[in-house]
Amino acid sequence: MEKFVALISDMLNKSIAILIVTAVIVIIANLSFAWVISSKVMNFTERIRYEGYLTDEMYTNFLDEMVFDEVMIHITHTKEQKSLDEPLTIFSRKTILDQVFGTNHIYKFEVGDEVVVSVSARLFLMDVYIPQGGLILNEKYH
Amino acid sequence: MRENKTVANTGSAVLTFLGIVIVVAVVGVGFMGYNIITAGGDKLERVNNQVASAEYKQFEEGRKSGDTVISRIEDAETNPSKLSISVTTLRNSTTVYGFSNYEDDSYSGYSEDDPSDTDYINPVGSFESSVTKSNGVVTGLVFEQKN
Repeated sequence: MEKFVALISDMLNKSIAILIVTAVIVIIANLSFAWVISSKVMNFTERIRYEGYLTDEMYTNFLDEMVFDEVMIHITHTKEQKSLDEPLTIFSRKTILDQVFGTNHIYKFEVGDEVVVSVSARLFLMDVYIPQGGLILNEKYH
Repeated sequence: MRENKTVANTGSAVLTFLGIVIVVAVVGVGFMGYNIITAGGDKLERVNNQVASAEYKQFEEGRKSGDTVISRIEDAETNPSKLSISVTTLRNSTTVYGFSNYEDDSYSGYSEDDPSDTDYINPVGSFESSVTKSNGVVTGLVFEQKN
């Protein structure tokens, strides 16, 4: 009888340990996924910032990297305000993508403008929201 | 005798490890199945709504250019998020644009290049922006032309 009780408690201990290990593995897997996706978003945004433009090739390559079931990508382009009484100009995703996939295959930014790329995606067990962006540093399309 | 014990310990370690791997695999597949069954699309939608609300923060006040207004209308027309864009021009004409208009054949839309049109949106004009909310969710953007 004592042996039996000892066996049962040993099994319980083991299964609890296994559950904890599983939870840790799942969390680590999700975090590494999130890390991979955020580094891809950062590469994409940094390239736009350093080159000052977005081409259809850059965008489709970026889409190919977003290999998740559900993913939503927002891009906004805010023009630099040269003076305070100047109205703010914000271009949304549709306007940008229309030009990217239009006849010129390119969307141009200007130095000082701000670009924000935000991605929300569903990973293995959680939803992540990754905003990346910054000021445009170059105009390499000249 | 001692060597035998080591061998037995190694065996049980391998067995425990195998057990852990199998349990992890089973639990993993179980979680995956759970994810597929519940397919919590509504959850991602909720996240996206919050993201969108944050995005509309910059429209709560301040002057925006006509280019911004046009870009927002283009976005709303092709995005089934049910966002309505209300634009009042200097000629006191208020028109509401949105996804429902896009499918309406009789809808003529705004004008970008004909200043005599009452719904002419001057790309360099200045528009005062605000947002309309329903139960805390942004349902529309309001632009009123100032000059």
